[in-house]
Amino acid sequence: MPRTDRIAEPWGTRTPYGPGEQWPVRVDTYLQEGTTPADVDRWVQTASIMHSNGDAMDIAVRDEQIVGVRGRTDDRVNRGRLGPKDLFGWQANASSDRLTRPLIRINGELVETDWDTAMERIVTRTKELLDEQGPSAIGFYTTGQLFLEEYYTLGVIAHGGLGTNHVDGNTRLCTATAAAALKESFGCDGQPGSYTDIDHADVIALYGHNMAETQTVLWARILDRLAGPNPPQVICVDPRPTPVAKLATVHLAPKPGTNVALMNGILHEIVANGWVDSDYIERHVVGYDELTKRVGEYPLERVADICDVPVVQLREAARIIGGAQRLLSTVLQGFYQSNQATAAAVQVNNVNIIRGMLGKPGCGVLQMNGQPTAQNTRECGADGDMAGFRNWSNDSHVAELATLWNIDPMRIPHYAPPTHAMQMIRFAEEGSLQMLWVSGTNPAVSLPELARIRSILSQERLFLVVQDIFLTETAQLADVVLPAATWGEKTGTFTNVDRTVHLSEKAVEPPGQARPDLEIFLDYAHRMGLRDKDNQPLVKWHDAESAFEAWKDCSRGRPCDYTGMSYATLRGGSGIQWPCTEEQPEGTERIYVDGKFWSAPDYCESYGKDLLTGAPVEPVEYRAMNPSGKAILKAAAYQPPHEVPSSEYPFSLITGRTLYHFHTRTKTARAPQLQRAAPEVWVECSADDAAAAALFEGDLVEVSTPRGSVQGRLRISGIRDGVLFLPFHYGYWDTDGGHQPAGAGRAANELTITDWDAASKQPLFKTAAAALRKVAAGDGTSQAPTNTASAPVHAGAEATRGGAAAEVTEEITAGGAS
Amino acid sequence: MKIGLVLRELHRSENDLAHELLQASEHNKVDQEMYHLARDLAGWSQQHIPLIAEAARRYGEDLDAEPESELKIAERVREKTSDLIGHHGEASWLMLRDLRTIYTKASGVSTDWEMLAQAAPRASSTPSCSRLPNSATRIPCARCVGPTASSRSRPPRCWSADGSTATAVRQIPCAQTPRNLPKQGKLHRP
Repeated sequence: MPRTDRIAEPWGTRTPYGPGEQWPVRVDTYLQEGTTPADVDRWVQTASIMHSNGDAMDIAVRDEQIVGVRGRTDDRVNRGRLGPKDLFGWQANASSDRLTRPLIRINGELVETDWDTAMERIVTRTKELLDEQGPSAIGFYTTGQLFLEEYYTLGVIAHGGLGTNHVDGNTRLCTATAAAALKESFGCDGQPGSYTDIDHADVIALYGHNMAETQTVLWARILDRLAGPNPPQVICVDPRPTPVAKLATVHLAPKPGTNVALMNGILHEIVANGWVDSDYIERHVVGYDELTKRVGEYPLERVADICDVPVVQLREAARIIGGAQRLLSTVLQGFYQSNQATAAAVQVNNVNIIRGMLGKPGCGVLQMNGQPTAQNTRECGADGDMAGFRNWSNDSHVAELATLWNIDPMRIPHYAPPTHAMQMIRFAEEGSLQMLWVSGTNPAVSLPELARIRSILSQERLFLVVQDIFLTETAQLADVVLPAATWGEKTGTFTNVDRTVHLSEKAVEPPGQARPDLEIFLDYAHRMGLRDKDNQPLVKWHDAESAFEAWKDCSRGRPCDYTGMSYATLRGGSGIQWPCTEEQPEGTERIYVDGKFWSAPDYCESYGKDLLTGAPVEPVEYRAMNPSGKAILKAAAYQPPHEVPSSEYPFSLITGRTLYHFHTRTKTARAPQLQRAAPEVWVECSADDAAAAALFEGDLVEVSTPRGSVQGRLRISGIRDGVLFLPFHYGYWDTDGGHQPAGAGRAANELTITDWDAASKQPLFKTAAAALRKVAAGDGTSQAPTNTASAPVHAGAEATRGGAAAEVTEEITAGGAS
Repeated sequence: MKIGLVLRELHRSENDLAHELLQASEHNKVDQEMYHLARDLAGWSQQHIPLIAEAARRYGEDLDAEPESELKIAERVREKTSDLIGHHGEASWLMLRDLRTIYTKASGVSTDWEMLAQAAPRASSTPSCSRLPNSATRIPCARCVGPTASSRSRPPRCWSADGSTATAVRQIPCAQTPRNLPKQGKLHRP
């Protein structure tokens, strides 16, 4: 059976197919050395937790240990394939430095304790604060990597039990703009696209979306289309020469922070050339006149000037997009984490709306997620949204939830918008938020302007609870650390970008005393004595499956309807796409068919926000604008970023990820194949910028902004002139500093600015002005990956390879259809 | 209606609002949303000044086309003070006071634009008035420029940069979440 080095070839072997055909099956299997399929005691169903694609897989268990993984043949998402992080990342579960006992801080030191002591300390402090100040003293900051059941429980505890609206997820850093953009255009969250649109599209436009590194299996699907008959044309918008850019028909590399101008230019061309579906607009869309007026101000010459992109390239891109018969648009962090994030992402929706390209095979928008369970954070109300995509500004929706939870509506805090993560941090800084419970995320590395974040999280007056699987940088600052079980050690469900729900079953026991996150939340609710109106327990479920059943009730009749699913129907076979009702138990592949949207005033999740200021649209105003539930075109003018390059800080700095790591490397650094592929932080700049500063590949350089500095080896890449790139994965847990720099900074967020998009509140990690200087000459080599966007422009770098340790079996089933 | 007088008052109130926003921004530099949003909004008020001045000339009013500017030194001093008090709970009380003032002044500006809009039937045909910003640039004079600014798909909205300032102010979290503030007596918790 063929074996492939999946570090050297992250996307694996090609299985070409043509438009309208089914994507061929290729089953990827990786078992630890010395294990053969015959040795496996059982295979346990799950899906990928190391990125947002939702690749279905089975865990191989031998002697009650995880020994490998295999892609699931029958699943609609990956058809058997897995990415490098899925294939190797599971090894982190068995690391010797897993947290196995609760820790509490005594005399400044974290010491081991038992669960009773740790939980009682949290409960005592919660009650003190409720008594002294009320629920606004307490905040929850969760993740995009727990399970649906856990988020829903957390949301009920926080919103319905304690009554705080300080609840958010680290999804604020990655997908808040996806949700915000969908709410602006369609009145509601929910992906208008489906992964199968790749099978049909004739044009695929990727906006700030390095899919090759963020969703490797989805990119493999596009690669297979590109290798087959009648391949689609690809448009790439990215300042870096990503693998997507290299295969694109047109690659636009705009100046960072100018996405709205770029999109307005493309829309201008589409409108001016009449490449619009007038009938669709007339019947299903509001706001066209305002959009045409606004984009009329952006002729390509002006756009070329703002974005520093040649007019001829802009025109060619617009011609291809405008001529598409089946247009799939995808968006990710290049838009979400940049200046005017929501406004830019909304303009991508606008392209598909005015071209009438929604709800049909090949016609869709994927406002991507960055994390595996981000969609559930949004659905279940663990990120500030209201459970079941209900509308905070609609009193009847609040009342509906209150009935469901059997509590007084006034207990659900809806007097103000939910507090977003950055605002919670601000409240902690000024002292009104006094208890912060962080689950499954690492803000001491992942939030912007780390010196500030460390000063806030280390305040004595802040009671910090951290629930995690390792002693992260953040956990090192905690007052109480709760050891959690992770993927493979607990059961639950989660939902990917294209609304596919997967069941993830427990395969092995968690280490030591570590407990599933759901158990921890249930224990807290119980100890807090949270009650409903009839003095019954507020949280009425006791395990994952009963939590799922409770969630189904909450989702009933809402867009994210799960009522037709159960653990039984999710077990075996393929994941299922919501909405899924008793009438439609097989789920729904495409939404927004025939121009039917969820945007009617009484039903919609959001009335929207002003894109420039974030000011909420009033219910009356929304009702007047969109009385019959159409798609909404929202226009936006280009506004320059708040921080632009200057003589002191002449570069634009963007941060981002690399294929081989996830977030702050808590798992990927503990998987040897992944860690070796990208072992240390690096800095990317262009060949011209390097020459101008007399810098060479491998030199130790320092990047600085008004907030701090970072040192790393230089990689001279094909990135745009004037732009620096830093990967954001590298923190301090595996350095002498522990939770902070011991010497030179290493975390990209030492440099980033505390500023966020007005509408989505997503921090702007791709908008900062920076300086670059040489610290010391190197030996001419850098260890940055060579087969990704960070590929070197000069020959001579050692190619990224995994060798025998990274060889994976790929079993290809012949034939395109099955 | 004395359009000249209204324009003169609008010119004054926009300048005043911009000034207030810049001050509030500097007072609250540590509150990033307040800092950036107030500066953005001040910029838009300042962009109105030359347009108002140009329109007013037609009505015999000689108004300065330059927005009144801030003293840079004073700005730096206030920002530094803001940095120093950033960890104190009192900062949010000071911000509430600033927001209250902005809200009041923004309402005044909004009223001025409303008055101007009521004079619109007579003014809209004049080239000078039609150059005033329209709704798409978030400015109240939308009605002033007549049908071009209002499409069937747009609601009768409360026109205003000013309206938008007022709405935006509501967006700033502390303006809406008094419960975030410590109770009295807890202000000096270490």
